[in-house]
Amino acid sequence: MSLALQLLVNGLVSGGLLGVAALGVALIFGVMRVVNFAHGEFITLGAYATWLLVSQLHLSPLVGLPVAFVLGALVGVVVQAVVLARVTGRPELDVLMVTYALSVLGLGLFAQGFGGDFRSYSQGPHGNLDVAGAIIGWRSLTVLLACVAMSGATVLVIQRTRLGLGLRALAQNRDSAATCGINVVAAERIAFALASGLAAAAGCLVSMIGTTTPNVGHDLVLDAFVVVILGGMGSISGALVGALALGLVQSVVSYALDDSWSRMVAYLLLYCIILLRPQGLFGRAAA
Amino acid sequence: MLELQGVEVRYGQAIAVAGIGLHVSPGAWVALIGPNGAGKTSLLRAAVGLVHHRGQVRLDGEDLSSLPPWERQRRGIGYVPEGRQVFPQMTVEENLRVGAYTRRLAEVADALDMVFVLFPRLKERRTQAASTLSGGEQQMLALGRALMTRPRLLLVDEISWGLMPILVEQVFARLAELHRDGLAILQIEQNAREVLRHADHAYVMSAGELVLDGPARELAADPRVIESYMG
Repeated sequence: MSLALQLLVNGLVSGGLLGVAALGVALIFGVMRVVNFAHGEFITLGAYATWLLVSQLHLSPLVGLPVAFVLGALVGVVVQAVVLARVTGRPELDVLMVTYALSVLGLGLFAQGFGGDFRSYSQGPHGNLDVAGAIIGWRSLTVLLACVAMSGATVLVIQRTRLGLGLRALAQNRDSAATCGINVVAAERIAFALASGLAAAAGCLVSMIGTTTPNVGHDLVLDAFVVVILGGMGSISGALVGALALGLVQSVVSYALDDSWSRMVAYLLLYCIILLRPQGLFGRAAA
Repeated sequence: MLELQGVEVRYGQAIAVAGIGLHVSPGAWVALIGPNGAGKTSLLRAAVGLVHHRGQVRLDGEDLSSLPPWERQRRGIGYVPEGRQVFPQMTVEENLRVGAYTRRLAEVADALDMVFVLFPRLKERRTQAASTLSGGEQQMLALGRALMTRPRLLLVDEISWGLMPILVEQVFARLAELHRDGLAILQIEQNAREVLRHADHAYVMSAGELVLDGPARELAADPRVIESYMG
């Protein structure tokens, strides 16, 4: 019983992080039709930013959450305006190569700036909660709560606000959105900034429960891509459900077998989905 | 009101619209007819800013040629695209609200009422996903959505395509009401007989060029038009 609970909590924590990462990937794909390989680098950015705040300025890592969000969003705006806005509308493979190049560039910059060391800190929430024999760290709980709050807020914005209405319109029919008066250029920039901010905020959480390396975000986003395809390309709710499912499966697999199996399982799952339900769990079959 | 001068649209090497000039006077109903592939849709897409074009698109004297679609919408151009291009995963009401995207919140409720009076069907289905509507209802929704933008000029592309005759009649009746209230209309239509009955003026387009134009009543009696488009 306590083991099951433990695995459940572990799964929810990693699934929650994956969910926030996947949310951004799905948002960018849905609105811009861009597969953003550089999404993980925004996560890493948030992780290093938080590590710097804690180790250099002796602030609580929780301060990193809003700081990372704003930093990620700002860098996102610049990257979108300077690089991506100039290539939208080009063939998909071209755009893919551009985001891949951005990712490589980011990885290189992080390695140059911070070295390959494992960065971690002990500040912030600590101690454990003993629930029915399962040991749940306060850090993990904080991360889980923050993930739920961020995904919830994002879904609210998309489903309930005027901005969200515009973004959904853009995702469903670009031309009609534009002729209804939606500024497509501005909307794409906002979507990219929002997704990048979310990624960096997720990075702050990653730095809290793990160690920060130049490719910490890169690794997380590889799973996020699996999740986005699992849930149906561009489907926000699909991405969230897919993330929780993958998180739970990985949690069980890494307990029953070994950590290194969890990624293999992710891709095995992906392969099955592509064969059996190519539009994803929540996607719509192409008309 | 709307003035096109030397509008040219190319897709790579292919010329879809070869330097066309036409105009729509304030409050006029202008028909644009011609065979498939004549470039009618490309011309309309150029007018709303969805395709890159050469030449000038002027609205009330202002040159819109370098403006994106959302800026042209703000100046009063409404667009009903060909082929029921609604937002499929949104409800009927959300579709209409996208149409009112640039309007003040206080005006949206009134605008919704106006569209629901015009199309009671849409009111009945306001919480339904647009993709579950019938073809005719989707066409009404596309028209309603364009009206939500509060256009002064409405560009309409093949609105009656695939509709049952009774629905075609209804759509034209709605357009006639709007026209009576002062809305200018530029309409592409394969049902030449019907559109020429309603329009004030008509242009005939073929292979990217205008081949005929004149009062709709006269064109409806022109043997060349009758033979080619009303047979």
